[in-house]
Amino acid sequence: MFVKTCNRFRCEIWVEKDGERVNGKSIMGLMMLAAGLGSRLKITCEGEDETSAMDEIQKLLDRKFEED
Amino acid sequence: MTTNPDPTYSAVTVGTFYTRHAMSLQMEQLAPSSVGMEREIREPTLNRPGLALAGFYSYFAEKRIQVFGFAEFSYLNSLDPLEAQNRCRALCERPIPCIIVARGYEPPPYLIGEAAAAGVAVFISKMVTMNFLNAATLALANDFAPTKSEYGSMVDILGVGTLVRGSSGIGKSECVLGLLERRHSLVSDDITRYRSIEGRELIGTSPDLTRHHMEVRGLGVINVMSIFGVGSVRLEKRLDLVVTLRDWQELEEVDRTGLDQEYYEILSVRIPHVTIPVRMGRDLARLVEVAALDQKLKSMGHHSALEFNERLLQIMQKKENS
Repeated sequence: MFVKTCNRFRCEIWVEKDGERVNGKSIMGLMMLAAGLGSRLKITCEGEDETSAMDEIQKLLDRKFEED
Repeated sequence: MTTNPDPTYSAVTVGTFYTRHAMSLQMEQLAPSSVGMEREIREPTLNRPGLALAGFYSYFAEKRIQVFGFAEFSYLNSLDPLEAQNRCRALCERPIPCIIVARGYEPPPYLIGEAAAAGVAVFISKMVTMNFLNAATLALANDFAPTKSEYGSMVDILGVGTLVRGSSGIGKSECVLGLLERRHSLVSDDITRYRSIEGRELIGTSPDLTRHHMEVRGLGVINVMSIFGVGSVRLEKRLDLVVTLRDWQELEEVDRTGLDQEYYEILSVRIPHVTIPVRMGRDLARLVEVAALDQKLKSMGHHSALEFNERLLQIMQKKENS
């Protein structure tokens, strides 16, 4: 879901955990981070639609938390 | 080893070194088994502590693993036992990473005792000292090599280690699939880890977790080895060529002659680089394959574009003269 959302945007999206940085649009990258429930992630958006991208990601993460 | 996009120099603990290389270096640890494992090896080479045992500690390489061979024990045996023990204590009291005894030699009790008292781990290797020194130095060079992660997929194309880079969605994975179909081997998809060997070459490998796997849009994550067979994957490969896929509209000047050689730098090693414009209907895999083969030719001494240029100049010369 996260990767799907990121791919809708043109900007570069990076996700960082424990000093490791991966491409948010890549499933391989995100899997490699092995981020389980409760992990702290640093998300960076860089490019044309960076603000809308960040908003969407924020909304997605908020919703997930609500579901829990 | 840490793995972020900035280059890192790994700190190797005695424990890590032992876990990684015990089998290949034929090492066994002397009891007690947990002593000294957290100490750090701070230089990627070994030291024979002859001078130190003789009492000379100037320029003593205390950051290195200390290796005892016949020479060291012959010297200790030539001393009065109490004196030999004192010399060993002096050595063990320095902040050395650990002691390794070669030739399967059983170390004297006083050495074992002093090491235990100082918290220094002692190992015995069955290998002949000379061979042990060579093998252990190589192992250390590998462990200490700086590493960096690059975004891109790496493929072995007939011996040419090729990194395929490009922005998301440009077609990297499809290009790689095309190459796999052509019987080339996948080293890593999406993220490749490089380590620099003595600053002159780079060896690429995939992260342990995602090894053998690839993500293909529309299909999800596939296990390349299961689908294409064992010949389609490669554990690690030297990097010989970097290919960047760019949308053709973004490119202002594409080198049509092939006379300019560009380079891409990773960990201060410069690797030949080509940019391939991406446009609908173009077979990327084929283009990347040819780029790799051309690189192979160049490394063998045949520069196609230069040779063509020479030929052209010769013909032009002939025409002028006639």
